[in-house]
Amino acid sequence: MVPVKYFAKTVAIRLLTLIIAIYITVVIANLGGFIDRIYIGQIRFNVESEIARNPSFANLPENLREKYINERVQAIIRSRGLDKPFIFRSFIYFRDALTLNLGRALILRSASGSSLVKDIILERLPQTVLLFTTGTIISALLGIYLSLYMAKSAGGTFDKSVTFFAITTSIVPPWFFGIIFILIFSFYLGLFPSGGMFSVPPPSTLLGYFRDILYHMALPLLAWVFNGLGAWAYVSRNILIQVSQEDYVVVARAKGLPERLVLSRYVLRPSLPPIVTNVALAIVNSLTGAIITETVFDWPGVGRLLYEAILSLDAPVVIGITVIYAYLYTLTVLALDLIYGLLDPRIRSSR
Amino acid sequence: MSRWTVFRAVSPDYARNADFMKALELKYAYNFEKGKKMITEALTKAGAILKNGKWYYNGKPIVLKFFIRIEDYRKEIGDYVASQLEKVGFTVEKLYRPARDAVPIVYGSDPREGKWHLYTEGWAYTAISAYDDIDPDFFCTSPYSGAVFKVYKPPEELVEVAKKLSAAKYKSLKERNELVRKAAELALEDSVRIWLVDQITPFAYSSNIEEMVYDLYGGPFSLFSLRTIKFKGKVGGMVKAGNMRMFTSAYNPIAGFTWLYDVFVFYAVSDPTVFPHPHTGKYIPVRAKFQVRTAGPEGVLKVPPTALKYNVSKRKWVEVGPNVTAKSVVRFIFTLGKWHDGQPVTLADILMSLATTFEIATPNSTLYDPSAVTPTTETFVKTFKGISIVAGNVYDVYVDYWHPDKSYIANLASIGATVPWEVQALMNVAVADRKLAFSDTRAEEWKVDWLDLTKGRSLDILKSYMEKFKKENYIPPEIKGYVTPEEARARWRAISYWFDKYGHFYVSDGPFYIAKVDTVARQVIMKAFREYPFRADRWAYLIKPRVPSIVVSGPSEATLGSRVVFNVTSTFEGRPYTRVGVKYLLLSPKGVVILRGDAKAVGMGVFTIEFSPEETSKLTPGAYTLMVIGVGEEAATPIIKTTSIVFVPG
Repeated sequence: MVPVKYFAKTVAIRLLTLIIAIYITVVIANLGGFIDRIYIGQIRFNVESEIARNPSFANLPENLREKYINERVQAIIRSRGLDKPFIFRSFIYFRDALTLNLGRALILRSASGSSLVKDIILERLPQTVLLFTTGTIISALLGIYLSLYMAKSAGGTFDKSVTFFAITTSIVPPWFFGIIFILIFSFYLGLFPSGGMFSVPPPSTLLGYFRDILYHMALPLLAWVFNGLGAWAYVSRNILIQVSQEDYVVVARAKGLPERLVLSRYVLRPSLPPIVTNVALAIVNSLTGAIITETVFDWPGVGRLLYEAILSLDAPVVIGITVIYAYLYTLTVLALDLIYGLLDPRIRSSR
Repeated sequence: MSRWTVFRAVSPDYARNADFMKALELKYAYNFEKGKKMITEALTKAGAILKNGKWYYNGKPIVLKFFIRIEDYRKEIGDYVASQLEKVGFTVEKLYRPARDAVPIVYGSDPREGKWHLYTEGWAYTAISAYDDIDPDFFCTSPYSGAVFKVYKPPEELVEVAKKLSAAKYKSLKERNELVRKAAELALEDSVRIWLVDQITPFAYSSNIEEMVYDLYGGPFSLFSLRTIKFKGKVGGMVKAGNMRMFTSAYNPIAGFTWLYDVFVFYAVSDPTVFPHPHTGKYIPVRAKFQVRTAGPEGVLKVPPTALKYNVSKRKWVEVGPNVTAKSVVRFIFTLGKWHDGQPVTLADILMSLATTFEIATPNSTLYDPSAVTPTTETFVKTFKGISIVAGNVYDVYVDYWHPDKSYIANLASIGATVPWEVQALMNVAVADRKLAFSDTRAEEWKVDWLDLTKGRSLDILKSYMEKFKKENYIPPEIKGYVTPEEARARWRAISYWFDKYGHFYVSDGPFYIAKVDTVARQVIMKAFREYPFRADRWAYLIKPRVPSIVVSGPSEATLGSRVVFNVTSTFEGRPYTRVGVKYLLLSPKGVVILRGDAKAVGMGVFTIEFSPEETSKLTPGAYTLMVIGVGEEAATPIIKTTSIVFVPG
């Protein structure tokens, strides 16, 4: 039987969380409306500077010059919707964000010239997926694979070595490894480029183009995997060890079942939900990129876009990235909740 | 380099008045004790008390709120200035802020609120200007440069001088120079803005590359930089130029290329008609030679009745008719050449571009876009009186405009086309239909894309018009009668072929053409345009700023009342250089200017400075400094040499 009440409650809670998160994002990204003052001040300053310093305006009487400046300033203010009070606009932004109508950026543009937030984000997303989602999947798969051996020989040399590796690599941020790798593999050995996504000029064939991306991706990917791999192995190992100490595993072993069967059926399967949850959330997280790692490798991903948007106070872009992330995160959590709720009655009853 | 006056130390205005500026600098040279004394006197008079090295007013310490920008050297400069103020006895509250936090408060708040008292301001320039008419007004009196001047009223004399300069209310360069000197002096006396440093833009390039042209203000951001780049000992090759950002503004020649980094590409692929000389700021011919004839600020010239003007409502060129006058006429002799797609540049291209200028600036036109109208365009539209077609490539442009420098008149009157008429027609119709917009402001208002000839959604829109027009063999009304159907057919065929081959519409006439725009890789590949009509070394003479070497020789000791002569020689690359003015200052042992004047030219690059017995008899014994300032006509960098002379009693 489908647990309707549980589903409804879960969906309602997640949606409420999403709504609150999005409105808070709208308010924070706009600095609670203070951003308007900054924008308007900046617009006026830019227009006044541009006009007052231009010799062609020199012959205009001051009142006409002021009139012209005011008209220009007002036109820009109107074109950016800054002529309405923030509280009013915050609900418009909120509605737009909820309906994924991300609108137009205030400052930033896509490389192809569009100021639609959707275009700006979609232009960067493939690069981020290519590097960070790939890196996350590789490190997760390798880490989980290692964790099986660690759990199997818990307390042994291999387990201790990988645990040590996990702790040391996960406390150091990936961009730091990035700098070290650039020094070794790029500057010292000259094997890989130090940054960027393409050679100059980029290869003209499609295959060459793709190979060029992979060549440029090698070091940042290595840094990302190097940083994440140990943590995945360590966390998964702990889950596996915890499960393997459950009574039913002890009983299965006592019954004399083959170890391979015990591992795959009695240990791995019950361990999967938390591991899959971690993987799913990590993949969603990977879509927002990594600001510093992207900066170190000059990788044009979503992380740097977010950074540029924050620096230039481009609220619609900040909101756009956050809203997409919030949606993906909520939907992932919701999907996991529902699937687990469906598969495991204990989860339903605990609610 | 250190800077004192409102005019930059490498500016042509500074150079023209270098002796005066130097004297001002000596007067205002660093003198901590003098400053401390002045501050002490003023604060004591106001009722403040100095207690344990700190100033107090009404029992409270005098606190200066100092906004210090943190993004660049201004942090160090701010720290230094703060330490000097603290040394005098002020309590300085150092507020380290980035632009986004500092700008709204410094420029947006009422200064009477006291949210800030000092700020480390900075300005950047991209191209040298021969006449910085606006600077004294902008920096020292105008509310446009900061809210301070909405409250604080500078001395009337300063306002008057600054306004005269900014409104170009002078009738000769001599009169203008006097205003410049006065403005520099009064601005220093008032000193709402205190100038500290002029920083020269550094840029790095490979050691395989020879020197290239740089602008005295803007460094490598010059039209001529990429045009003069070449490898050492090798012809041709591929140069990779890094750019801070790519594709920030749209690639359209009407109201695109608004970011410096995009302008790099624009400069390489399109030829302007005239452009400022990178070392003097005066306009020089690029695509057209020019001859200026002017009747002066008050005079008039007759415009031929057959000259043409553009009627925006009828969208056609008409004769100006009788009794039309103008102040100046500029004859442009074009090297028309070819467009990148191989089609010849013609009068129709220029007329189409000119017509578009008028349409964009006219409110009732479907192309009207106030944000696309630059002040220069606006002045041109207001002062344009007519164009006479003298020959296929020779056009006279009549304008009701005068400037003491003829090259400035040529710039204002300059006509030309950046793209062929068929590309202009595609852009115009897309904007008239409100599917695209020339300016980003209009694009925001209309909620459409900013017109870009090289990428984005613009391409599909322009392509659909191109296919339609190609079928119709469309000739825009603006140039009906100036293009034959055969010519039009060839044009549409060429642009269609171009788009199929290169995937964009940016056809222009510069030394490079855009071979590929890759928005994913964020790269533009430009290749040499082999049918470009000028030689690659055309601008080589601009690579080395023609700053002469000055050598001063003369006695190290002389008796009071004797005649003293110094010799000055001016050379450039070892040869005598005559296009230089030499001025001098004689400084007393205390650094005060005693005598000043112009050196006398006595031969090829040879000058003398002579002090008469009468002049030297008025001096007191001691070690004097002779400062010689040479200013070449071809570069706005003054060369300053000093030598000492000891005057002893006779």
